[in-house]
Amino acid sequence: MADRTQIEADILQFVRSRCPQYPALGADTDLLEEGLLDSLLLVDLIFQLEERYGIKLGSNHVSPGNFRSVSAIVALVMNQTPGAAA
Amino acid sequence: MDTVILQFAAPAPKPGEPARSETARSIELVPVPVMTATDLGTAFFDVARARADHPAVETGSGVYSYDWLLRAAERVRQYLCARPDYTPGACVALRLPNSPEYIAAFYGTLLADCVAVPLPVALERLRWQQIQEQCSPDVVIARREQADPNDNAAVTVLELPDVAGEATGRTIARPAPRRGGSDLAMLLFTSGSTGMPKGVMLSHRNLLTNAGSILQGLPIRSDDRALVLIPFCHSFGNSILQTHMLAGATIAMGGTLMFPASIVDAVADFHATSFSAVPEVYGMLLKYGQLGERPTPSLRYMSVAGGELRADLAADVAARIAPAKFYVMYGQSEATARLAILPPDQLGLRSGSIGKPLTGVALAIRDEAGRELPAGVVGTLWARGDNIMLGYWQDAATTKDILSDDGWLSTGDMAHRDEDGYFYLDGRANLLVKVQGHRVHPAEIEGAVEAWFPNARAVALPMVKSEETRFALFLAPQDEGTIDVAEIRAACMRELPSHKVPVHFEVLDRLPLTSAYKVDRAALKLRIPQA
Repeated sequence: MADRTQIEADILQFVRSRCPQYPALGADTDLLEEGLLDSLLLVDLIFQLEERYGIKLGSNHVSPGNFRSVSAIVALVMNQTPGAAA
Repeated sequence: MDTVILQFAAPAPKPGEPARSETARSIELVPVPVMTATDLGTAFFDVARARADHPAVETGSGVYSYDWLLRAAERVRQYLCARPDYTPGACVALRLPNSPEYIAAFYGTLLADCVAVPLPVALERLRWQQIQEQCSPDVVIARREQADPNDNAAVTVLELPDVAGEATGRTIARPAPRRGGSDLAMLLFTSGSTGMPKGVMLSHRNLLTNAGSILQGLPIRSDDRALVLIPFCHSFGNSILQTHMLAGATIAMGGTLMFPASIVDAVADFHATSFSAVPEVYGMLLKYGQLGERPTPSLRYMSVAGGELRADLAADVAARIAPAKFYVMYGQSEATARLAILPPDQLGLRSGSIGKPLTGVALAIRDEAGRELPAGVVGTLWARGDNIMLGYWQDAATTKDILSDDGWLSTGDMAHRDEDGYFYLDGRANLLVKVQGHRVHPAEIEGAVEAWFPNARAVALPMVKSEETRFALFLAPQDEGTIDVAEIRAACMRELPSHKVPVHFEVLDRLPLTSAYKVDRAALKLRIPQA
């Protein structure tokens, strides 16, 4: 299982690749406030997370709080992955 | 072209608990007004006067009465009519998100005898230019943060009436419209096979007729509170707007389509009585929305249109929201909005059906020679009624391809009907693809890529990824040379709206051809990786 740094780097890379118009995107950029997250990116993110980290996201996970920023997404993944090294 | 920004003088009063719970508690059964006007602007005006004190719109930040809406629309009308270049029938572009301002701008435009051209807020620069070239709007109404700095045009700020101000709507004179009936009221730009946007021309009669048909098909009442999240600038969203405004009902805006649980919360918090959306939203609601888990006693029905919702998912939605009803509907922009409806009691019996034609609509299944086909036989679905568009803007040739002289529209959908007259879809006859409710012709993506990279031949095909329809893009060099797929991918992400960005790219030495020397799309389809 990848560690937090690796997960953050992976997710950041994925989100950045989808938001080329926002080169300054960082782990704490507010994806909702900046209008960067749309339903298609969200669906793809969920798919990526489930696929890559072997987690299963349910209704209580797909919320603005958990997808507001890359850091929030990383926290969500860490929470859902019991074996993840902090 | 001038940019007009609508601005509030003071924030709207918060939807105070008293006002909201009052509306929720008192069951107010006002009959849906009979429409006497022959133009949509006056029809709205009459309802807004009759329902002056009733909330027309509620958002998380405020309540907007019909009286306010009428005063705000009047402000827009006065502005447009006072312009030195004012001409009845001129196009006014609306680039506003769903909001009270959008509704005021829409009806203000019609009350000024102008033509409304609603456009998505996030519109590609190229498409915006093409639309401006086609219909040359004198005015675009936008929000300040969306005013395009590249437009380099004059910006006028129009202050909207005070939401808390005195209700003075009744002092506004009933308009004496110069346009109505079969005159153009609205231009709805949609995808075309050439990659250029096509303007669907909808008349006052089209819009009034289709709204009337929907009001007969769905149990819409004047005490309804419809939660609306799909954009008004699409035909489905526009039809929800028209039906609820003409019914004197309330439109609630809360939650976001992205987070399904927020939709269920908004239904509960706004005491919404109905919700309508495209199939993808229901897919998300079932997966991540806890649909049916949080009680929503106010809900009377939900409806789906704008694409095909898998029959098993439709049954699942119906079961989860019961005793609220679930209506499956079918339509397209060229028919103003909606053509058919499946009564909820038939959902379990006629799985996969789009139902029967709405009042005032005729549907027929025909073969390629135009002969009507019997029950059970698949053919092209045709539609007729006063809701069928006038034609495509400045494109008589394309109009002639799909609209016959006797008023029948070829929908481009393949379908059959059963012995009892219920219709079922059997795929598309053309290449149009639905992505999250957006109708996209592959040529829009192909044309854009080939324009940026003249050495590339591009073919876009629908593919299914994580249960959603997206695009795959196949590329081959036009002559010699190489294809830089990374550069093409980056350009797509930069320039195209996300629903058009391919999720799979593949470079080939050459594109496969059919015996007729056309690109063999079926062969390419086999190359798409399975999700």
